[in-house]
Amino acid sequence: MIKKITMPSGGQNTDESLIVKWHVDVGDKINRGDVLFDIETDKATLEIESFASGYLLHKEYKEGTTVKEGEVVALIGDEKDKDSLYVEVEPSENEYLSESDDYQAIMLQNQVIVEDSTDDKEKDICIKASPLARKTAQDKGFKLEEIQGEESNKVIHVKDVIKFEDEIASQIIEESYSIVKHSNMRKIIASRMNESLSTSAHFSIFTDIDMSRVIELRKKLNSELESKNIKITFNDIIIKCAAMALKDVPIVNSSFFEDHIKVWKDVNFGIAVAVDNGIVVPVVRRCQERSLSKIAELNSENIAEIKDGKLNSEKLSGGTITLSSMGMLGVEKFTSIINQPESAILSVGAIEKKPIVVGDEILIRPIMTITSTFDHRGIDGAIGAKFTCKLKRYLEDPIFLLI
Amino acid sequence: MSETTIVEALNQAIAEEMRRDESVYCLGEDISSLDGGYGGAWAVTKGLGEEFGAERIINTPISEILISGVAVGSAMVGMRPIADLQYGDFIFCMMDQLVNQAAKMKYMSGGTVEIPMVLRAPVGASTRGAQHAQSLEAFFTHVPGLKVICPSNAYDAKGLLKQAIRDNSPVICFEHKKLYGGKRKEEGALSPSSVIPDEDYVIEFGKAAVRREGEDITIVANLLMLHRAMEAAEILSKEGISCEVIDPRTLLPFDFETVFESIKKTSRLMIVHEDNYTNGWGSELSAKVAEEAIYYLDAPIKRVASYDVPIPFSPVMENYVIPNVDRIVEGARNLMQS
Amino acid sequence: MANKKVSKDQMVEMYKEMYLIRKYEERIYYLFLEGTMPGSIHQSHGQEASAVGMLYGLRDSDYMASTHRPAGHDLAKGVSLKSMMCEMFGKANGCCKGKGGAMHTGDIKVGAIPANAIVGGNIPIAAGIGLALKMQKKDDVVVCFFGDGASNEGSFHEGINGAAIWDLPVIFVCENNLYGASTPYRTVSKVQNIADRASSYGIEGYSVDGNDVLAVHEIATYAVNKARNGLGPTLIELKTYRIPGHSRSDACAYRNKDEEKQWFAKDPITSFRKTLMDLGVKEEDIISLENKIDEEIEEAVEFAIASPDPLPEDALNDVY
Repeated sequence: MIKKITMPSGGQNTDESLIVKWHVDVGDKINRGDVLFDIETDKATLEIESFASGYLLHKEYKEGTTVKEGEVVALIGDEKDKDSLYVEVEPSENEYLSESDDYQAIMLQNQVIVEDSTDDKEKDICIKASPLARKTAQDKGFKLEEIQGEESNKVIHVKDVIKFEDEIASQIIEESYSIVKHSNMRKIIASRMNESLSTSAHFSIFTDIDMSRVIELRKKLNSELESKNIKITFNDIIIKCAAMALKDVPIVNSSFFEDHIKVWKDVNFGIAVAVDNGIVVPVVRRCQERSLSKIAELNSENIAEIKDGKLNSEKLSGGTITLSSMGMLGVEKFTSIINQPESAILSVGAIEKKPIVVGDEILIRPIMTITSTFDHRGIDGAIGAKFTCKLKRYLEDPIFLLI
Repeated sequence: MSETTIVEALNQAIAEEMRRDESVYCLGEDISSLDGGYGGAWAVTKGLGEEFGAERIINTPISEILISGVAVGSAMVGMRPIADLQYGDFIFCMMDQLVNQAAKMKYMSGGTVEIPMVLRAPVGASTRGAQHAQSLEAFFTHVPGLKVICPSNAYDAKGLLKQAIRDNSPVICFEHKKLYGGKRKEEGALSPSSVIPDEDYVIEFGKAAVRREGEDITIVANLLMLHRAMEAAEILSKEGISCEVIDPRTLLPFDFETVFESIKKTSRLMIVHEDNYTNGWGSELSAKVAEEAIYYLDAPIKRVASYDVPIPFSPVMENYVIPNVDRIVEGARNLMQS
Repeated sequence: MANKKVSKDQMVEMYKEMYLIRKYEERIYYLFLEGTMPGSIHQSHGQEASAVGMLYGLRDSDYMASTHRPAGHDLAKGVSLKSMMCEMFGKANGCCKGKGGAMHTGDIKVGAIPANAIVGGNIPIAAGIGLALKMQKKDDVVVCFFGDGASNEGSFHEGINGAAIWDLPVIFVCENNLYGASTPYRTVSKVQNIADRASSYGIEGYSVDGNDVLAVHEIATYAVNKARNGLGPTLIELKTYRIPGHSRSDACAYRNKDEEKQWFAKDPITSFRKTLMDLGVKEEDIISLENKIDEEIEEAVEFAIASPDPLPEDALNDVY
C-alpha cells in the first residue's frame, strides 16, 4: 500500500513552498510523526511530519525546489513495496479512512493532503534499470535513485552506474581539500624559501630581552611625536638598535658568495609584512644613518602603500637584513628562514610579562624573545652571539641610541 | 578430408553407422534409390539401398504412425532405426508414437526398456505453403525423454547424426531444407559445406559452438537463422557493433552455460529462430537466462523470430514472415539502444 | 472344443493361470474398494481364456504387447505376481519401479513390453518388434492384444498393413468384448466381425469364441506357427466379455442385463473347470491348487503392502 505525501498549503498568500531540507533518505524506515522535510513558506519554516509509517520509497523533489501545494513530494510504502521491483498501486480510499484519529490530527496539523493513488506520477517510481546495472549498483552500495540513466529513455545501464561511481570518487577527492592555484607570489616565495634552506646553513640564537625601558621610551616619544603624526613601533626601535649593533658587528650585514663575502655598507632593513596569500618585504634603506623617527616614518609609509596596493616594486629589493615580527599575533618565539642573499633574519616575538632574576630578586618584567638566525657559511656562532648581545644591550638600555 | 555438403555428410553418417552396426537401419517414404526410387525426398539416403539392400533401407507405405511405431517397437528390442520424414510437418501424424511412446517407454518401464531411435525431419520455409514449412523444434524440446538436434553445417550434421544413432534415447534431428546443399536448389538456399575428416567422429550433445566471437551482443541462432545471423554480424561489425554468434547445435539438451558465459561478456542477448515467436525455443532460453543469469544482462532480451502466423506461400509474404538479415541487423541496433 | 494336442496336465496348468488371473483381478477390485490402492483400474476378469489361450506355451523370447487392461496378459506371459502387485501399489520393487502403474505393467525380460494405454498405440510398435525379429533372423513372434475400440484407430490400419506387407511375425489379437468403454461396437462399425478386416490387408483373419480357452489356444497355435515360419501376420478376433465395467467406477449401465446373464453363463473359468472335471481331474485336486493360488495372492498383497515406496526424487531418473 503506497501512501502519498503531498505539499501542504503554504499559507494564505502563496500556494507554493520551498523544500529546505530533507530529514530522511529513500529506503529509510519512517514512523508516523517523523519529520520528513522542512519547508519554507512566505511566513515561516515548518517541519512536515509523516502521517504514515513505512519506508520512504521516493523523493520527488530535491532540497531547494519550490513545490506547488498539493504536488506529491514523497511516497511511503510498506516493506513489500520497498522490496518489489515495480511498485504496485492499489488505490484504496477506505484504507485511509480507517486510519486512527491521531492520524487525522497529524493530517490537519500539517495539512497533508492524501490523494487517491491513481495519479500518473505513480509510474515514475519504477526506475528502469538493466538487471546488470541493478546488480552492480547494489554491489557497490548505490541507490538507483541517485543514478542518471540514458538521456533518451532514462534507462540505467551498467555504464551509467560506473559513470556515477567515477563521479562519486572524484567528489570524494575534491571534498578532502580545495585546490588553490599558485599565485606568482606563492611561486616566488616557494622557490626563495626552498633555495634559502638548500643553499644556506641556518642556525639560530635566542635571546630574552627586558623591554621595560623601550616601552617607557616609546611611550614618551610617541606622546612627543603625536603632533607630527608619527607613531614609533617596537619594530622601528628594534631596527634602530639592530642597525647600531651592525656597526659593531658589520659582517652580519653581508651576503655570502662562492669565493667571497660581500659586507654591505648600508643597512637596508627589510620588514616582513603579511598580505593576502603571501608576504612582502618592503625595505627601509640606510638605517645606520637615519633617525628613529625617520625610520618610523618610512616604515609607516611603506605599510600604507602596501595597503593601497601602491608600493613601488623598487622598495621590495636591496635588503641586507630582515625583521619578521609575530609579536602582534601573540607568538612568543619562532625562527625564520633567511631572506637570501642576506645573512641574518630577526624573528621578533610578543612582549609578555615574565618573572626574571635581577640580583637576588625575582622581578616581573615585560620580556620579548628575539631569535636571530644566521647563515653559518659566513657567520660563525661567536659572531652571531656578539651581534645578539649588542642588540640585547641596546634594547635593554636605549640610552645608547643617543650615541 | 573433403569438402562435403550436409546431404552428403548425413548420407556418410548413415552409411558408416550401418556398416559399423548391423542393428542400424533406415525406414521412411521413398528413401530407397533401388529400382528408380528417390533415395529420400532430399536424397539423403541416395545410394544406400544399393549398398544395404531393401532389408535395411526400407521403403514404407505413406503411414507415419507405422514408421514411427515400427521405429519405437524395433528400437525396443535391439534395433537402431533411423526414420525419415519427407517434410517435418508430417511429424504431427506421429505425435502419439513420439510423445506417448518413444519418449515415455523407458520411464514407464522403470528404465528397463530403451528406445534408441532417430527421426530425421526437414524443417523450414521454402515456398511450399503452410503444411510444408514449419520449424518444429519447440514442440519436441517440451518433451522429457526426447532429444532434439539441429545441425547447421556438414561437419556438425555428420557428427551429431552419428551421435544420435549411437544414443540410447529417441533423437529428433531437424534439418533445414535450405541448408542441405544437394542438387535440388531452393531459392535462398545456402550450402554450408565443411571439410570433413576421414576418421570417425561424433559431436557430443549439449555443446554449443561459438561461431563468431564478439563483445557487444550475444546472438543465439540455429539452422538457417545461424547463417543469417552470421551475415548480420558482419554488417553490424562495420557499424562498430561486435556480435558473438552462438549455434546451440542441440536444443535438448541445451548448452545454457555457453550462452551464460557469452552474456557475461556482452551483457546483451538476442535470439533468432525461424520457429515462430511465441513459445519458440527462444522463449525457454529467455526464461532460463531470466532465472539464472539475469544479472549479466544490461538490456532486455531481444527475440527475432517468424511472426505468429502459418507460413504463407507467396515468396513475398514468406520472406516477410521469416526473419531476414535486415531484421536481425535492425534488432541488434535496437538492442544496442535499449 | 477339445484340442487333442493339449494334454490334461497342460490343461491343468492353463486352468491355474486362468484362476490366478481371476483371483488376482478380484483381489485388486477389493483392494480398490478398501481404498488401499492408488489410481484407477481396468480389469480383465472374464477374459482369462483369451490371455491364457493366446499366450500359453510361448517362449520368454516371444513378445507380447498389451493394453490398458494388461493384468491377464502379463500374468499369462510370465510377469511375476509379486512385481505386478507391487506396481499396483506404486512400490519401488514393482515391475516398473512404481513409474508405470496399472496400465503399463510388463517385464521385457519375459517378453512383456510395457503395456500401452493409448488405444491402438501398441499395434505399430508390435509391427516394429516383428520387423526387428525378422531383421535379426529370429523365429520368435509377437502377440499384440487390443480391444474392439482399437480397430477404428489409424494405428490399427497402418500397423497391420505394415506387418502384412513385410510378412512380419505378429499375431494381432482383437479381444472384442463388445464395448469400447460404454460404446457398443455395433454402433461404431458396419463390419460385424473385426476379423473380416484382415482381408483388407491381404492376411488371414479368424473370429473365435474368446471364452473357450482351448479354441483360443488352437487358433493361437496355428497363427504362432505360421508367424514362426515367416508366413506373416494373422488377425484373430476373440469374442469375449468383461465381467467388470470398463474401469473402476463403471457400473455398466449401458449393458443389457439379459446380455450379461448370457455371457456370465459362459464364464471361461467355470466352463473350463467343468471341462477338466469331465476329463477326470478330481475336484479336490482343483480346490487344492485353487487354495494354493489364493495363498500366493495373499502373500503377494502382504509383500506389496510391506514393500518400500520409491524415493520421491527417483522420479527424476530413467528419463534418458
